Amino acid sequence: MVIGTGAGGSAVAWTLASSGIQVLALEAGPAYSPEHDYLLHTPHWEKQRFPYKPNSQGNYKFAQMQELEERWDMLRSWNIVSGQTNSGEHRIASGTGYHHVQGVGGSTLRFTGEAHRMHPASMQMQSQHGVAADWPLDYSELEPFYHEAETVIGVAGPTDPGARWRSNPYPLPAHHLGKASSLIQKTGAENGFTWVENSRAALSENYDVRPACNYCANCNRGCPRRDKGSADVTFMHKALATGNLELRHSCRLQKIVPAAGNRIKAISYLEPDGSERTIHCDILIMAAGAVETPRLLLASAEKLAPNGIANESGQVGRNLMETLSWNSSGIATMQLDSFKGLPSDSICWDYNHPTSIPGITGGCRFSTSMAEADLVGPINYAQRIVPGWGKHHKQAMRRSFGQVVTIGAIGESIPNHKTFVNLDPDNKDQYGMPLARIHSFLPEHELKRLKFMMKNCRKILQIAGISNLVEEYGTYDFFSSTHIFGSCRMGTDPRKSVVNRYGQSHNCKNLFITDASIFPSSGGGESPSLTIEALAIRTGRHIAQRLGYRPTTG
Amino acid sequence: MNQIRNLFSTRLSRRELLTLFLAGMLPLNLRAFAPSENPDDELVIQVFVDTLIPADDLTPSASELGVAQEIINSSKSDIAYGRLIQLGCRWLNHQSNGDFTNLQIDQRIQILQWMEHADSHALPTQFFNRLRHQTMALYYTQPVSWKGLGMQRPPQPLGYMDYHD
Repeated sequence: MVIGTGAGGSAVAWTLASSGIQVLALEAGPAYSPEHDYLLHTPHWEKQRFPYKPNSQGNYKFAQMQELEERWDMLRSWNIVSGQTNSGEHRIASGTGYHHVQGVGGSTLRFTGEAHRMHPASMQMQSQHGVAADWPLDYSELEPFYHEAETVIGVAGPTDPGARWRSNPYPLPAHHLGKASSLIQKTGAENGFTWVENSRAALSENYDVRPACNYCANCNRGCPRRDKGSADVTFMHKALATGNLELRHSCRLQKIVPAAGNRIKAISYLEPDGSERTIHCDILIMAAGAVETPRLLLASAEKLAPNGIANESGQVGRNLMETLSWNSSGIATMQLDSFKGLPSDSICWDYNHPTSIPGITGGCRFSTSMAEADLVGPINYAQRIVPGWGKHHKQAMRRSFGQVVTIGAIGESIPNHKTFVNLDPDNKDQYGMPLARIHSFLPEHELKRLKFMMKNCRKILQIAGISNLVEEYGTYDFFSSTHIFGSCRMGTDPRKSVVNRYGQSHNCKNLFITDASIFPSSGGGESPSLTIEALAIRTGRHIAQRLGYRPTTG
Repeated sequence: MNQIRNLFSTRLSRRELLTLFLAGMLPLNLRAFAPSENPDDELVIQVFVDTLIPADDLTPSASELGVAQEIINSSKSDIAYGRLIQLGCRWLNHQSNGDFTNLQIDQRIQILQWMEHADSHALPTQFFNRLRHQTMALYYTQPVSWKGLGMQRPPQPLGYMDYHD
């Protein structure tokens, strides 16, 4: 049984179902129909960033976040229309803060679709650099599963793998760069920055039964063509085609029931009509994400598991890592059609190695990020980056539309004891289960890394001749996470981790976890979905072998 | 800030309203205009949004695309927003010797310029910012407003195959 059908849940469900194992997958959120739910063909396409449906986001709370300090004022977010966008004294959540989707496909429904492998050096952060934790497996062990995930998805990437060696080329050739990325690549090369085509879960050619991308620039609003490799149209689609998977969406897990002998006996969940059902499970795989998975484990505490399921070490919910990010946007002096093309089509890995930022442990990466900044339509231009009003505003809109360039940076997030998930003592959902509460704190070294990211985003724009900055947005004054990891750490020591190298609970032998909660370290800005999928395939293959099923490929 | 929040959650007394108006009094000389009857809020909003987005050779004004009506409609289902609209229109009329809609364009522009840069916690600026934000969204969601931008249609179903050199 699999709980959650995002990247990890869908990939493990496909692996098991395609090995001949009968699988039941429960998803708390709804299913999406790309053709009907993503409205990019209508005039209203820009108003809504992603079409959230009822119950398509989990409920959670934030603990009070840190006070903002004058010495870090240079890291405050702002835009040219509104000025400072958080004028308060504390860091706050930006919108929902944790930007996820609860539904069949999970957050891959609204992800950009970067398909990154971890930098091999980012997997030994404790032994090599004294921070975070080592992965209990190395890159070479994960590499075949990366390739398998890339093949299911149809990842398009460059011929030069850089630091991430490959046993096979990418399934599809890289996409052509858009005009803004071409400018950034050219001027970067003249000034010491190496920009390459980003590896993307978007089809550069027709693949499988899916059409090639047509470069509408709106992956984050959901892809109506199915060319973006979200989990629903790749792993889940293939898993259902085996006939071995039963998928039930809008079914909310209520309790994990342990049995004597360190096993899970059953789960109880709510059907869409509200009726409660209990199902016996031989193997339970949790894949509800790094906030909801620890919540469900902790909320299932009972006599046999007084600290929560799989929480003998007290580590469930600990070691949370968030998205450390910065965006700088400026207006170029030439028309770049920057509202067209593939989001995040180019990337700079120069500072991705854990030691590449002078004086700070943990790396970062840079990419062109107009779509991630949601600057691909006239409403956001008018509201955020073209100041003024009246006839001059109209003229300025016509002069500047398509000329914004955003450079985004994402950096390593190192676990600290003030950043974790626990159960909120004061707030419960409508069914009586305590909500997850996110505690987040950015220590000095994270702020120094963020400052390095800010300076270099500006520098990259400046060397491209873009000095007219109009908006900057970062996670110093806002909690804004699309990537969250680490709340059920994978490791070899049962005292310091929750699951072993196969995602299996150290204590509950029929409980596995296949979401980003098991990451021991975050990487230096890599997007996590491909690694989640590779780990999930590896876990699925391990389970299938143990059950005596023959592994299959593709 | 609390004072502003309270404005939208409770009924205003005449004294509170007067205090608010005095706090947000702009230094324009409009006394040459004879006092007149207060117009409907919808008419004030119509003139306000057309000052934000007037018509030109390429594209129509905001009110021609129904923006004012949309704002009034949305304010009816949101008590706090409805209160902001009501108070903002009263403030505009008060600054205009009774009728904001009766002002010349350059005088309307002066009032909006003052509102834009006044204390961000005061009602006039909150009204201005909220109306500007919503007006831009309602206007630029309509394809007729896209003329001159280089974007002729929604992103799908055709995409942008001409995205690179």
